[in-house]
Amino acid sequence: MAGNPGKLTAKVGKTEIDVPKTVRDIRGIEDLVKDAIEETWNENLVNQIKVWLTPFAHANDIAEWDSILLERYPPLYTNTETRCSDCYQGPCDLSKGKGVCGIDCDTYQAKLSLLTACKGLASFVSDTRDLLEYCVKKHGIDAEIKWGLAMTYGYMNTLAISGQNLYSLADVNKVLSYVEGQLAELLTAASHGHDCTVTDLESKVFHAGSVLLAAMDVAEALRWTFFGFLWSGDQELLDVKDYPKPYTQVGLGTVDTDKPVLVFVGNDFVPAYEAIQFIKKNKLEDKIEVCGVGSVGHDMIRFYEPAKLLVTPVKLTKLLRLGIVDVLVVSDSCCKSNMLEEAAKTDTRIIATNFKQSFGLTERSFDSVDDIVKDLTEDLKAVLVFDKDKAGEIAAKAVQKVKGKRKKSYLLSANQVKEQASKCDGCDACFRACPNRIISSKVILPAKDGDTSKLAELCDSSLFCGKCEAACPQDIPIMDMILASSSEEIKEDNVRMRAGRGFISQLEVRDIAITGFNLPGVVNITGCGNYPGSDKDVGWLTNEFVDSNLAITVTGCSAQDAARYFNEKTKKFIFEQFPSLYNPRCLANIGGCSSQGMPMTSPTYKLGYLGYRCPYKATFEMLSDFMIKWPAILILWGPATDVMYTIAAAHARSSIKVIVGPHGSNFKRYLTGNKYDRSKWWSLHGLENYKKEIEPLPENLIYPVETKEEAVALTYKMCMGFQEFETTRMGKFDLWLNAYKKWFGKTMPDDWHLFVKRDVELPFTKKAKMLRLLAEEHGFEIDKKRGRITKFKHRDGRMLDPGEIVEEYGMRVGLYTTFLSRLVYKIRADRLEE
Amino acid sequence: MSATAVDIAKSLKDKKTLLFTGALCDTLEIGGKKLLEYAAEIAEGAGIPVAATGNTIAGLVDKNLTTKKVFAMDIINYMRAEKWEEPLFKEKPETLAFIGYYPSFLNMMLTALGDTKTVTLDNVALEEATLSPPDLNLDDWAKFLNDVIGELKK
Repeated sequence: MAGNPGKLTAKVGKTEIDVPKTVRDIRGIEDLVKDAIEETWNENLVNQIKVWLTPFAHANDIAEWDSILLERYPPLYTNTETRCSDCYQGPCDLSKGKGVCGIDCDTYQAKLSLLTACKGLASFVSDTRDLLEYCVKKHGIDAEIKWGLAMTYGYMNTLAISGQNLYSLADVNKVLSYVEGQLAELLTAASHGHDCTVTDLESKVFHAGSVLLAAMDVAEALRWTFFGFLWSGDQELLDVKDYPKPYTQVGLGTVDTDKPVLVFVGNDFVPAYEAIQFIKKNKLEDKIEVCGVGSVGHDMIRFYEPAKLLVTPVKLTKLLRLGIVDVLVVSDSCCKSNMLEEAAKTDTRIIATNFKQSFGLTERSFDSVDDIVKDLTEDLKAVLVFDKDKAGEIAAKAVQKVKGKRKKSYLLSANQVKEQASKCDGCDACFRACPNRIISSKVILPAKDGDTSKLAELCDSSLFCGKCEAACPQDIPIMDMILASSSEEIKEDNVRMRAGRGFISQLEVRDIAITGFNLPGVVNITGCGNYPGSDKDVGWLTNEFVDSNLAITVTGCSAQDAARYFNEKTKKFIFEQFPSLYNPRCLANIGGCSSQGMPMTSPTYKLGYLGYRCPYKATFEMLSDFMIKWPAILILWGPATDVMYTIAAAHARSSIKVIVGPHGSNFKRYLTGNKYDRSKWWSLHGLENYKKEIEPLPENLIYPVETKEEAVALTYKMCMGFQEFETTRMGKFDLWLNAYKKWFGKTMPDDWHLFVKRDVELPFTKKAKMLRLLAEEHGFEIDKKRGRITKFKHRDGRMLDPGEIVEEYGMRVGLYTTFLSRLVYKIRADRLEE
Repeated sequence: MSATAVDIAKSLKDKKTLLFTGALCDTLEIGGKKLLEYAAEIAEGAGIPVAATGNTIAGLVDKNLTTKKVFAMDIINYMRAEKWEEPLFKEKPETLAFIGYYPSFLNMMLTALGDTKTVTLDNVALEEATLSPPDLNLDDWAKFLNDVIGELKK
């Protein structure tokens, strides 16, 4: 203890801080708080604002920030459910008024939103708890967590929300216990939410997201510390640009079906890890094809180079019906309920390894490996084995014996395809049921005469969800017809990508901080493959951004779809073409969707500290308040899970703008702003503490789009910040307007004039036209000869000089701004006397 | 509610109707022409403006229509504001009509609109819409849209 005996103080320079007064409840974490202040605050700052930390934050600790966001971006509920049966007095029809408990329809939607977020959080936390228990069992609770060469500050999501860093498994346990405690509270609020407001409940949805990212940090730390995952945090920076090499094979055409094919699906990689240890120990690497689907696939390629990625989990039915899988090892997530039924069609054996997806099977961990392998080899189609070590060994052994004992082929013959097509009566029930509107009688009927080309075209774009088959009154096996017609397409499905590299280093963030002033934006694309259009669409998006000098990262199954982009000029796949850095014009695969804490929030917090000395331990609100100006966009292209919903909330709360692609439209809630309502667009002058009107930026926090072109145009717009340099604004303007020119009929956005504050921000090639339109359509006064704006029209109708508009509309660069009044700089009374 | 071409045309003729054209207008072809062509003829026949979402503005910009590129959720969002300020329509529209949307996207918009009157022109009967065609196959859908256009011209 420093300073007065008996009084806990932290010392920052010459200034002493009374530690218990910096938190809501010191509750036995005195040392953590004291260290956080002394390590991350500087003397100027502690003298200008009240030192306030939120260690192991409760939702309510961040509520002030949440309410600011939710006031500007009020939740817009979709897919609404109006019948509430949550209590014994129900059901109540909320479309006609309040329920008996007093809950209204919007509040009920907020409750459901929180429930979804809790489900997303719970599914990940329970997996992480499993992983932690496994690590403790193998290595002991005091085992050290690795940091690697390039990690200076620690695990940022964990630090921002809890203040706790990860040095050992005991620390991991502390953080995970905190997350589990929060989950219990949030779930309780979701059950009793009729007492809350929409803002209360949505604040808790945000919180579920924030603690989810902390859990993701934990999982990432365990993965690379104890399982040897690829980890760029342990590489020299010069090596990272080509780390890892783009050796990972992706696609159905990569599988050598002459070998036994062992496929893992789900979220738990440990059975795969154990199977691979067995395979390596017995030198079976060349004898068994080891493949993955979904999160586990993206994990496997980070510790086993020969592993292959097949399809995105949405297309699991496609994989099973092709009949190339001998043994499928299933954990949880990324799976379908009808997997046993689908696997039975091709005699694929299933090993379930998780109680969350146990298919009603009897657990057999206490039986011998050889007995279980024998049963699987003979006629048993599926087993349940919780013991992960044993499940891995069984998988590796069984796959060798099952090979050759399964049905040779499930695929339809050419004649069978014709027969099935002739049953079609043209009712188009398949079309009406298809989420992508791609299958119809016009596609099926030509196959009657042997023309299967239209069916083959769907191999790439069909989700293989099976809704068409379920809707068909003639019971035509439409998915089987597509597969039978697509042998060439499947053979050619063979691309290259880089496996996930994990951590983004401080040095890369430093680079971004320097280039950031002219950087159009940083974008992360993630999702589950649940979108209309081609598998190559994510690659198209990725290429568009990287080609426009944005810094691009990909995570989850989006990475394997991005990998499909092939540049015909350079004859390279996109991962072969661009360096693997967190830098402009670079493309880095970070890892599976469970690595989602790494690419966006973590570097953003680092940037806050590196660039602006914003403390990063237990200071979630400060970091998010600061970073709202940072051009960071998360694109959820084809999300399909509750975890993705929670991830969206997590990023929005951290000021990272989220764009959701089509079919992400099953989301229950968006956060949308109204640019016309000027009362919503303000920021506090950080020195003088008054509200200033700003441009309507960022216009939305979570927003759905319909097409990939809309996603690109909106990304460029959402990258614009209300406080940026002239050249930066010019570059973003240019990208945004070019997108309209390319894809939207050469039109201009209807609101571009709202973002004009200086004529030097207008892109050179468009300046003449923009000046003309400003004069003709928006009431600005222009000096045509000099090509200058002489009078700007403020949104309130006043005509202002160039100097005045900058002062009255928006924030000039360099000025300290905030949304939180407690963060306005105040000069201490004693300083004033000095 | 499942409706006839006459019902739907009558509803579209209401001058406070705004027609949304979705991404499928660019990709679907029925009865020998693009869905976007039907949409344009409907808007012209009814004399109503078009909120061109997705990339559909590219195919509408040269037609004699009141239209502009919008993001679908923007309009849905503005519908809940007390004051209507979107210049595409002078006052808050009373009816929103939709053609060419992925089902999940359409459902998202319809369910967010609450009590607003909605008309869909896709070939699926929808409970969420105030008026929608019955379930139709592609040929009958084209015929239905032609019937709507015919009614609008009367």
